[in-house]
Amino acid sequence: MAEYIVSGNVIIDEIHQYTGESYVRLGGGAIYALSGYRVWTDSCAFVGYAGCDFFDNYGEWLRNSGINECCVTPAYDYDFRSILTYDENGFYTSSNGESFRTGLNKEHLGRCTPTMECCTPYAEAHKGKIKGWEIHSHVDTVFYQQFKKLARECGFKTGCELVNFGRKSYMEPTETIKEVIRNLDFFSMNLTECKDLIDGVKDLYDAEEFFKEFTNCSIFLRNGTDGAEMISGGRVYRAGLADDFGQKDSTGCGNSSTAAAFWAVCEGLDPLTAACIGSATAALNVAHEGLITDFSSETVAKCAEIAKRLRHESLSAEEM
Amino acid sequence: MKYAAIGYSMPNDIIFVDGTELKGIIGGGSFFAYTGLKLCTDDCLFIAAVGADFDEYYSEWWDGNNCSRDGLMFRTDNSIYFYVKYLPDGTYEEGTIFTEEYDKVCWAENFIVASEIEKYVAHGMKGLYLYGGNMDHLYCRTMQGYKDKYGLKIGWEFPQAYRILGNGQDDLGHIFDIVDYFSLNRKEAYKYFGVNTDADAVEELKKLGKPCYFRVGQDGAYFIDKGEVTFVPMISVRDNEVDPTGCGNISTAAAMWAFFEGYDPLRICIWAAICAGYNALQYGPYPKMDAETRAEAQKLMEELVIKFRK
Repeated sequence: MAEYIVSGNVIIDEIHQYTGESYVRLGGGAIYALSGYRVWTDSCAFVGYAGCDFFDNYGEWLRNSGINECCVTPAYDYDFRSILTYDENGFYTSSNGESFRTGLNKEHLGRCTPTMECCTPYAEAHKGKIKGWEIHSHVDTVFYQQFKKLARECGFKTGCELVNFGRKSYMEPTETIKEVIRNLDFFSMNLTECKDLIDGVKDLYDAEEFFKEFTNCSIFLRNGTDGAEMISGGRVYRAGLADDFGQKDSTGCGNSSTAAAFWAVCEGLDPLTAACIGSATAALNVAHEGLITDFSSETVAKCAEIAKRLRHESLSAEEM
Repeated sequence: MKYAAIGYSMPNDIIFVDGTELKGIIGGGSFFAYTGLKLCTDDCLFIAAVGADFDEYYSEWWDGNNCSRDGLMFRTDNSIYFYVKYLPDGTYEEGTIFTEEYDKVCWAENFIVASEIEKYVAHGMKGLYLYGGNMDHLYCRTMQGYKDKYGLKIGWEFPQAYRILGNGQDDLGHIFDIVDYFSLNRKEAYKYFGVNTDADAVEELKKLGKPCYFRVGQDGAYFIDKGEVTFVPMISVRDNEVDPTGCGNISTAAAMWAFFEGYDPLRICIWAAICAGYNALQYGPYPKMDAETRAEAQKLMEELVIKFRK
């Protein structure tokens, strides 16, 4: 059993470079989030829907990462594959169209979406032992209402990262976000998504003001290369960004930093520290092509140092 | 429960040529199939992931007919919801009342994976109605496991659309392998077999070797089993039929029940046609699915058996 759980999308990227080179990159928001947890704890697991080939695809990464438990409900023959075609400038077009063998396309991606039927058995089996459970990219408020009840019964905190869900909800996006947050202990979005989805949010200040109202919930607001902040109890705690490991690929940084910050909140760390832990995790993620693979004690210690430094820098900036 | 239909519910708005509208008419292929089972027996369940607003549309019929809620899973904020707009030329158009994107999400999120069905079929379920071509190999393997373990029988309503593989073949073979009975309509049969007469379709269905209820619209339906072909024309329960929507689903489910209960082919055909006949009497399902209606339907069936045997 694991103390930290994530549920959500599992997607494998098929990368096609302009040079003609092709390769597969493991991903999916929930798996990136799992990697973010893993930096700080080995008691973490994925619980959710995936293809029958999930362990064929992810088994090696899970074993090498020391993640010993994943509770997968096989929901389709093969994991989803997203086809990313890169040009010479590093930009890519994403085709979630029907992959070469899965038979599943973007329309089916919702089958990855966590359900109560999927989460409840694990939660009830480990009642009182789970500390935090993050849901990735689910916009149905009826789910969060039921999930909150389950969390209260089983004694864990609830988190959620929403990505740009466009018009995937019947409600206005602003109302959807409000209703989702009302049912959570922790929530995260990035600023670009906030500006796209929340009425009246044009800049960071607007987003902070919007989120300050939700005193029930810690909000991890990510702002790309400008760092991130935790909004908690009506206050804003800013964390910068670090570049200690070098930069390769920003894919998944939002997912991994969110999970790490959620872990910190569940562990009872103060909001600023939690934000800095998120940023430090993003620093490690961006140094990897795809998922984080280095969870050595030296690397984790370095992440902790980075978080400590970011915290100090933030406090110093505040004093000035 | 001894019988169940699994799938989707879907309220509809119907817009007529003169602009008048009927709003929130309850429907959905599998829901209609469930109502077909309900006309056969009270011992049946609807297994479906539904919208949080399900009761807004369905509760009057649901509670009025003492339907079990054990199979309902509330997953999406809204029901899958369509409109049907009839056009002056006699055709119609249909689509979601929400955005296409939200509609797609609803369909995907409301898909119930096969492993989540076990708790329903593990306690003596006799027959399960499945619809469509949305079942991959995992789904069918899991269903086969339930058949082996629990003695479950599966009835299948053939899909309107299905995937064609790279080799040009359809992706339905693994579904055919697990079903004990299936049903399709004329259009589907013509397309699938590449034929253009009912007689040719019947010959192809005979060759397929699976018990089949072949619906030919207002002309009636065939039951084909072990090379034997039985035909019964459409049956009107009363004269005031108004809407055939769902009749195919209902007759498919009702024929499944009758077949699994051991009815002879003539009774299967008549019973399925009668159940569809009740459905055609109003928009949405027949409002009163109780012992009295069942007795009335059974009585009518026996009268018609005598008539057709003469």
